[in-house]
Amino acid sequence: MIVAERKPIEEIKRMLEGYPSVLVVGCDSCVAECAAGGHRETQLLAAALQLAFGKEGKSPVITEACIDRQCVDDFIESIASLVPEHAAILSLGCGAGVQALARVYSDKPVFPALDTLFIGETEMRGIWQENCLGCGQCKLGYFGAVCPVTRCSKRLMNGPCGGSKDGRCEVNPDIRCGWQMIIDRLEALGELARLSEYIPPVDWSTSHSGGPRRVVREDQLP
Amino acid sequence: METKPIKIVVYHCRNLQLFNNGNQKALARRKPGLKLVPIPCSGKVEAHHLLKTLAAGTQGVLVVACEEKACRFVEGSMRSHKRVDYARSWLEELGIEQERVEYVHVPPRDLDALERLIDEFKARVEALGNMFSERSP
Amino acid sequence: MKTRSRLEKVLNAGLFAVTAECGPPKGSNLSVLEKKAGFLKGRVDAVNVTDNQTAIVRMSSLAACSILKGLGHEPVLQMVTRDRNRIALQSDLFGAYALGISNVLCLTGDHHSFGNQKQALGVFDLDSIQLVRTVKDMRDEGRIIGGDEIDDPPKMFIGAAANPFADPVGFRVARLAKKIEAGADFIQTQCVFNLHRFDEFMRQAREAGLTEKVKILAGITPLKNAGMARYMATQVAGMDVPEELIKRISGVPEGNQAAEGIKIAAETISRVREIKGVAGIHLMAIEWEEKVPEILEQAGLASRPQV
Repeated sequence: MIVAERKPIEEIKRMLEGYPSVLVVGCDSCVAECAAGGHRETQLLAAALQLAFGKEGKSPVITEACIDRQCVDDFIESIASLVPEHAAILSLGCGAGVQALARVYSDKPVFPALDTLFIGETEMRGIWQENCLGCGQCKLGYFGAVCPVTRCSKRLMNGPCGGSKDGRCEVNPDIRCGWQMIIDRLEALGELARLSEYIPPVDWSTSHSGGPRRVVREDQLP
Repeated sequence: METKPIKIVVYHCRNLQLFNNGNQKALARRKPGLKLVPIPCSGKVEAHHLLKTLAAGTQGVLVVACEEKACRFVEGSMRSHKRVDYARSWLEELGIEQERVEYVHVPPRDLDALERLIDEFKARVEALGNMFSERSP
Repeated sequence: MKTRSRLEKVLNAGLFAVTAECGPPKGSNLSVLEKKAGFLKGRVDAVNVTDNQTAIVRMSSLAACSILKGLGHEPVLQMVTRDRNRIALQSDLFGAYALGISNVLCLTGDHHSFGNQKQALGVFDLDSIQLVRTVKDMRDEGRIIGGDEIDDPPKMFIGAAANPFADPVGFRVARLAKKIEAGADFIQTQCVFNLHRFDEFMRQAREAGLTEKVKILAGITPLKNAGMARYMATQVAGMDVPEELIKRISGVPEGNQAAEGIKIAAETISRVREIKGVAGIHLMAIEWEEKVPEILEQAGLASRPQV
């Protein structure tokens, strides 16, 4: 899923300054799982904005709505009747959700309430871990299903750097050394020999380095 | 000129069995501006309820929970405590006095204790003054 | 001989090699380099020029190497993959060779979060082992990544680093083997303070037959004082400074700690010379290059052979 965090209320307020009415739109998919932009957070942010503006003696109309998936047109259309009554939209979707709303409601200013961070997993309630960079050529099969592109701070492909200490990364002891994880896992699986193979330079052309990516599937087209 | 009584909302856990035979109405009548909201467990309270309550013009919100060890649903009081703390962290970010939202315990069926807590809370909130100055559209 | 490197000649002749590190200035001040070069003149077989070490912006390694070459030194161009992608790295290798530089040390580099440009985009297009292979393919196949032919390919004597003290310890020799397999001709190790662990690393390397395939230069860093010893022990990633060493340098009066540090370095050199498979030393006197002659004299390595 996509993991995001709410922006500081000050920044959100500054973006919305001057609009007499704002439609606050949550997304009940990824960003709900990471407790950043689901229906709960949408209600919370709407109330917080009322309080923030109220403190300054302002009372813009603030309406909440939450849709199941902000990155798919079918769902986005469910708020179509609310949009014309509002001067601006505040999205609690990820970056993709914000841009999809802006594409569909092209005559409305759309603002992000979240900072989109990464593709990751819920390690436990309250902890989300980045574990995929979307490089476009999954190499997990070679590394015991631990991604060196994501979990190593230097994206090393041929083994750990000299900064690995007690299973921790030199960058920050809160970061687990991805290469220690790869080695531990392959050792447990009895497949450590995999790592003696030289991995040639990565083809980054399938990553964002090749420009914005797009998938077209004839069989799926209407 | 008559001043309007300030609005206080009290979310209280039903399992405390604080009210019976209409004494809830009697208490509300004695304390203008007070709204008593029974909930099945304090753990049902979430941060957005608390903020919304304030945004609706309430000057203070009190969450009355069972003792954490006595919670009928085991984790309910613990949860509501965390959520009150979370709501207070929002107030801090918004520059609003955190004291406007409080989490308290009372013994079961002890209406006097509740009334005392409400009076003390109301006094503290009144001392803070009105949350918003004049409103303009 | 694969190259016209003087370092390669020394090592191939079976002579105990001495290299030293020289950090370029934090600016364009030529006199700093000239001064450091003066301390090292006639004392070492080659001079490593660091590439924005610990991610602090300094004069480019390539420019400083060229300047040192002009001053009569044999430079080793350190290249990190942190700041430049494969286009820039390969282009710099062409340029380096055209400037008469014949040694390169391939590194990934300290993470940029350590330096004075923490907000930078870390490149890491290649890793150090991929860079080693790239330089080797340039030299031996005459081709760049992707297969295009090179007009007058650079013939570099290829170095890589090894850290015997980092985790996972069990993988360190395997990683060394990988670097050799990729094409490393010589290895310069992380600073040796823990001789016991270094000895064990070398034993494993010998058993794997690696010392037959590569020349290993043991890294030596003189400690200036007890504070530096403690700092290296606790604050520098991948460093192993044993407690007894910290105690030893802390045990002498402050005024004599520098002398004690030099003495420890000279002793360490003598000790690593006795370990089979150690082909030389790499002296990293961090901003203390003026002490290199003294350390080498104490270690009985006062002059360098003519090759």
